[in-house]
Amino acid sequence: MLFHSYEFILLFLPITFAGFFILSHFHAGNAGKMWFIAASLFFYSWWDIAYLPLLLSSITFNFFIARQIKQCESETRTKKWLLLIGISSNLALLCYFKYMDFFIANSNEVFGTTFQLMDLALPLAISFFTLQQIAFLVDVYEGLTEEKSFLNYMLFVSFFPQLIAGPIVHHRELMPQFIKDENRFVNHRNIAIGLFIFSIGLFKKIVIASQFDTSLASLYASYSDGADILLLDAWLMSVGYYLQLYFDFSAYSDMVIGIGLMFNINLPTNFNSPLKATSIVDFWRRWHITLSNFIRSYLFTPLLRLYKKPSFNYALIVSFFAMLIMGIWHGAGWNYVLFGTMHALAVVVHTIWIKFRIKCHKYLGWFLTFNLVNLSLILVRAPTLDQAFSIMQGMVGGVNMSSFDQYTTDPMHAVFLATIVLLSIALVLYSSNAMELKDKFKPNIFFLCATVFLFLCPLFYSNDTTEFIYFQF
Amino acid sequence: MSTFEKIQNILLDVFNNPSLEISEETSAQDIHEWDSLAQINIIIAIESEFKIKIALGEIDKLRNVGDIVLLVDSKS
Repeated sequence: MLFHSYEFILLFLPITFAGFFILSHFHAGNAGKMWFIAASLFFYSWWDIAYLPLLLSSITFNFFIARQIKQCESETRTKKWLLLIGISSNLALLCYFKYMDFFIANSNEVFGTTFQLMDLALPLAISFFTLQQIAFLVDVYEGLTEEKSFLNYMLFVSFFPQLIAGPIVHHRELMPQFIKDENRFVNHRNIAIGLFIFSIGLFKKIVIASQFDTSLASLYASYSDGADILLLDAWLMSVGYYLQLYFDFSAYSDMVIGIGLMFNINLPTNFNSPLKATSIVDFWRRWHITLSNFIRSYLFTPLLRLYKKPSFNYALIVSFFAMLIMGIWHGAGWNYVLFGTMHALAVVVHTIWIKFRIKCHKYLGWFLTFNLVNLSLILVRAPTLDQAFSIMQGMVGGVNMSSFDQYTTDPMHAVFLATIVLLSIALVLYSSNAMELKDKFKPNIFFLCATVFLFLCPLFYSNDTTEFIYFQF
Repeated sequence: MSTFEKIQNILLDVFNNPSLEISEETSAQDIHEWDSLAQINIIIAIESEFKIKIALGEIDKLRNVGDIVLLVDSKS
């Protein structure tokens, strides 16, 4: 179910909200939680109920393994093996659904094997609930958290605002909020702020991101015959998509936080104006914050710590590897490998600059980061690698300065798209983002009008019901 | 020497810059060289100095020097 659909806003959310607060208001026990779990599982099943058993099996398996790990007295071998089995099972499941066909296709290509492609659909949310549970297993192993109640654990994983595309939440951050007594009751301030943030996200998705989507669709389609891409068009195809993804993911992150707040739950910020980033490392601390944190905490750090005194060169190798994995996590395909490699190289270069105290002016850093990210995202958007390289070629293509239509196939459309590109960039760079506005929120007429405006605009703008781009990762 | 002073020395050593100003509010934002790699070197040095073990899940929550002091004190 999509947060910006009528069925969610007018039916699912109000019903879940009413049911939860009525039940938990009058009953301090598990009724409210069970209602929430039922709603979350319904929410997940809305996409395809055939995959619900997969989600439930994953939850059950991880809960069981975690209990076994917890029961181990100390750092025994059994405990280590249990953790290893837990993590590898989760990863195996993810790899099977996500990367099997990629392995098969490449094996056939390189080794001449003739395996059949399995045509597996990627189960919704698997990339997210896998990582979330791996983090949980490690936290249990290290003694940072535990969960005795299957119901609580199910709620933690299936919590619908963050189930489909994150943020990746830690058990020890989420669970105490579910248990806190005062969170059983409706909190008007939280609802007001929640609605406000949700509306910002709604506006970003329906008015801004979708506008880019429609404008770009026609542009990409016009080049589907493989013709050389003209300069302005190439830049619009790349920057336009960057901004589409930007506002799409930003919208999702806002809506998640807004919905969580309505239920008195604070979910972590996952997006913090990455367009303002002045380095690639700064970028990944602003874009998909919880994924970066996961990779850093549970992949980068343990790999580095395999050695008592990790050398600088070793650290560079680990950084490269971790960033590559981050890239590949987004999808199965050589485009994602290339995407990951670009970011990995950028991080390595950045780390070397830091080490040798090479100064990079803020504006130069901003410029380099923007262009690197922009270039890398072409690999995500373009339907084929060939077209991706075509776009990149077009961006540096030779131009005939004498006439404007050497730059674009459709000048009117190009001017329109360029305008919204520049306006969007200005909006991000010069105004407060949703989280900053959240801190400034006051329950007054201004914020009420803003909420109403942001909420109603999308209704009249279009009836877009396209998925969030991050659902595909 | 207090916990804070010991940690201060570790930081000055990791960043190889004896003239750095470090207070409890100092965070990675304030020191350009404080990246993920430096963070790990700091953690390794702290574990060695205070004979404690810091969990993977705890490292990311350390927002500033004050957090590190609190964590170290809670384990000693």
